[in-house]
Amino acid sequence: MRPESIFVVLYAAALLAGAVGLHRLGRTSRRYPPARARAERPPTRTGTAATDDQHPGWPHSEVPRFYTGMALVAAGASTLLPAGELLGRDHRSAETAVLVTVIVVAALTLAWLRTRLH
Amino acid sequence: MSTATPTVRGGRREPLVGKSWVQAAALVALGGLFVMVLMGWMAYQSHPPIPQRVVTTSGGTVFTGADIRAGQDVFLRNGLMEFGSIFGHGAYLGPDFTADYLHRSAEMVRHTYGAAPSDTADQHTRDDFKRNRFDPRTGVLTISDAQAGAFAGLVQHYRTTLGDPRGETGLRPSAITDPTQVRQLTAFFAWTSWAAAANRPGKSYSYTNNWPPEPLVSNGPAANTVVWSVLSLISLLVGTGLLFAAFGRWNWLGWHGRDQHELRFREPQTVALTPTQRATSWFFLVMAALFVIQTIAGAASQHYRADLSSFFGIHLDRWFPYNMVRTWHVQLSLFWVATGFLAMGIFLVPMITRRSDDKGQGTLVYGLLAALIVVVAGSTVGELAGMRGAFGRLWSWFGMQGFEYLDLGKFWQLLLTIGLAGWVFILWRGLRKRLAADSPANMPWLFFFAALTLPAVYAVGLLTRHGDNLTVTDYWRFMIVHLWVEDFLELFTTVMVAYVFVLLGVVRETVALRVIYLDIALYSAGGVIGTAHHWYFSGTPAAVLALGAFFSALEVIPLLFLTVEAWSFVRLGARQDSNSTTAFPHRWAVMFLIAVGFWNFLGAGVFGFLVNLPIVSYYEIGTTLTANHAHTAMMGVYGMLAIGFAMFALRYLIPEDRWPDRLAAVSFWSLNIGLASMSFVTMLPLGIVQLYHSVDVGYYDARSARFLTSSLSSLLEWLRFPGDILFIVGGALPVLWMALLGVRHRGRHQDVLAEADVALFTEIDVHEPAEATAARPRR
Repeated sequence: MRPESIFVVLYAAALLAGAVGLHRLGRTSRRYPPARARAERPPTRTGTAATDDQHPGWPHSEVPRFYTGMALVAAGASTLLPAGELLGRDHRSAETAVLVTVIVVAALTLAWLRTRLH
Repeated sequence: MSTATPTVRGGRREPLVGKSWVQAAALVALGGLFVMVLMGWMAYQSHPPIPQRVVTTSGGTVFTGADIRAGQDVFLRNGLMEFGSIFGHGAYLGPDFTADYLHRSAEMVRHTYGAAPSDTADQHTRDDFKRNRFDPRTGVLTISDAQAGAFAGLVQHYRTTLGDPRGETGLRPSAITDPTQVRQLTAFFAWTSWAAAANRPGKSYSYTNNWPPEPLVSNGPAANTVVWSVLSLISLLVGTGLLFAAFGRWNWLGWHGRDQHELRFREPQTVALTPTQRATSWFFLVMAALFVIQTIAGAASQHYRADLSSFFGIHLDRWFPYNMVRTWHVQLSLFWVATGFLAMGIFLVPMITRRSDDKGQGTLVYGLLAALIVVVAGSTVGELAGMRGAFGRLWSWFGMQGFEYLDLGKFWQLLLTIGLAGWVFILWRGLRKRLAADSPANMPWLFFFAALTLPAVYAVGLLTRHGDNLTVTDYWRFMIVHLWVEDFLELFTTVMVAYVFVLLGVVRETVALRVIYLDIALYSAGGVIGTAHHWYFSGTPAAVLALGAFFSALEVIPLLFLTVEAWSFVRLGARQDSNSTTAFPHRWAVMFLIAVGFWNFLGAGVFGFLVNLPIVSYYEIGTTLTANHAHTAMMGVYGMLAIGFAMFALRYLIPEDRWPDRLAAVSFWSLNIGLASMSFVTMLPLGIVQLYHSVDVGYYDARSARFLTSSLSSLLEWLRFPGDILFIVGGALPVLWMALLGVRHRGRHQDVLAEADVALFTEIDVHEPAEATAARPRR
């Protein structure tokens, strides 16, 4: 494989790893307080302003959503770059196979992260 | 606001934190400033000398010191530092002129000694450049006949490239054609390349610590560059370990066990606004407009990197060449962010004092707005006119001063400094009664002190003068680029963010104070002396490189700390420690703060440290990895923060039934996706490739037009197009629309009637869990 293609593949792989890492990092902030503390809290009600927070409890933290969003961008980049390399250059069969594989894996990761964005 | 019952003595509230916090912060800050002064002294003492005359071994004068100084002026007033770079500092489309001159002249000299491979000829070339033949007693620098011949050849080369009538270089067509100016400019380049190659007296490395890498003249990384890179890494690892060990053992901040507040947030439209708060709507409109213009200037400058020949068929370089749009892109980034911060400071004052404005405050605020518009408009037009030769001898006063980040004319720089001082006066006027009733160690005073540092430190940048030695000008210039931007603005933003959360009642004032003092200590420990990481190769001695490498690594530590520990500062909902029976009104302001935290760690921390080690910077300075750090840090941290502040204020300025929540969402995601895209898709991969090329082939080649217009570079540059469009259309334009709404509706609020009218929440009940009581540290 040409050095340029190798770089694009490795970079895309690193971005994918980073994307998964970001998503998992965001999920660690979803830990809820222990049961005892939950029981001590008075019941809450949803906000009066329709344009504001629609989620239960206050104040709704969207750290997990943000991290998953950034992970989606990283996964998107890991799809776009090999696709650009594949379409913008002539490649031998082996290179094409590797690039297509990376694109497929990246696209699947992208789709998986998309289902996790909530 | 605070859950602690305030203790008042002699009419003033007592300090809420122990003396040790204040003393530690003050000691570290003063220590850092002392070392900064010491490094300044070293810069003045040890900069590469400008010779009075440069002569050949046969005695003929090649050029003079006056030529060098005049050439520096030509370089600055024509905006060449916003086209290429010098000593690695400047823009990245054009060449680094130090490396460019050095490489070309070395090739010419080598050719003079024979075209065939020859160790003797190679050695002769190296001797010509490495041997320092400057005589400090006479002020005469002697060069070889071959070097003199190279100088003459390069005068022709720069006349051809910088005066090309076709353009398509990034500069406007026929940018510099005057033969005298070209000659002077070449003399300036020659002097910088001499400083880059000739060994310092008594040393085995050059004035620039052997930068740039150039095998033809035996320029390779000096021992200091390698050793201090290793020590820098060790200081980061040890410092990180110590900090986390300390915080694992002692709960210094006291927020692990938090109060169980029950708060009721007031609906934004029930919070009264004062006239000055309503006036800030105009500031946020100016901020948003400047942001949009800055993104358009950025798009134009980025297009040059993708296609030098034209802007989709339009020869943009005839009116707005690369160095022009890049100047605006860089200057406006500082202007719009500063406008947002100034506005937020004014907006917060009545919320801090819980009373209406003093008489005349509104007039002062509008006066400040007018002054700001005058400075921005005047400096922007001045830069355009100055680059085209206007203003004669007053070019550096009203036109293009020409230093990267300090491009604006000195007159506008002075006005801006006065404007910042005026802003502090406005804050003082609003706060003075509150300040008189509080300890200097508490938040109102910290807010005021942090604001005061902004004009104070910015004023230091006035000492950057076009006639000075380049090493000295870079010493003062980075007071603005680093100390002002990365340290004191960081301090001010920490205080403001902390205050917002205190005013919202979600963090105790004591806790916020500890974070601020810790921030002062941590950032001062690393960031003040760490300013020297910009001076590794700009003509300062090796001791400055050592200090910069060791201490700038420590800058990452507070970013690590704040990211891990202070996530609980903003992860309010995830922990669900506090409750309200009314909706939290600042979802998007908090979201932008979450983004700030993310980009602070990634953009400033990770991408900053990626280019921080001297051995990396040696090959990397002035390349795309620097731009990657600059964009993700500046926009990701300060840009997001300024918009977050705007969201906070606009939430009160725009009536509830007009609040465009969906638009805020679109803007938030578009800005973050766009910024991530420009980094992940283009700047980071291109930067890695360019760094590899710099090490493998050569720095000169990695900065050449041949590399930048290669097919891979072009592909990567074009791939960022969708993300950039999203950033501008989806991200920046909605901010402008929301700011317009803020101006349109700002008058629909009642005047302040009572203290309760400006409160952001009411506190119903406070009780503290047992573990929080036990965990609370003793003062």
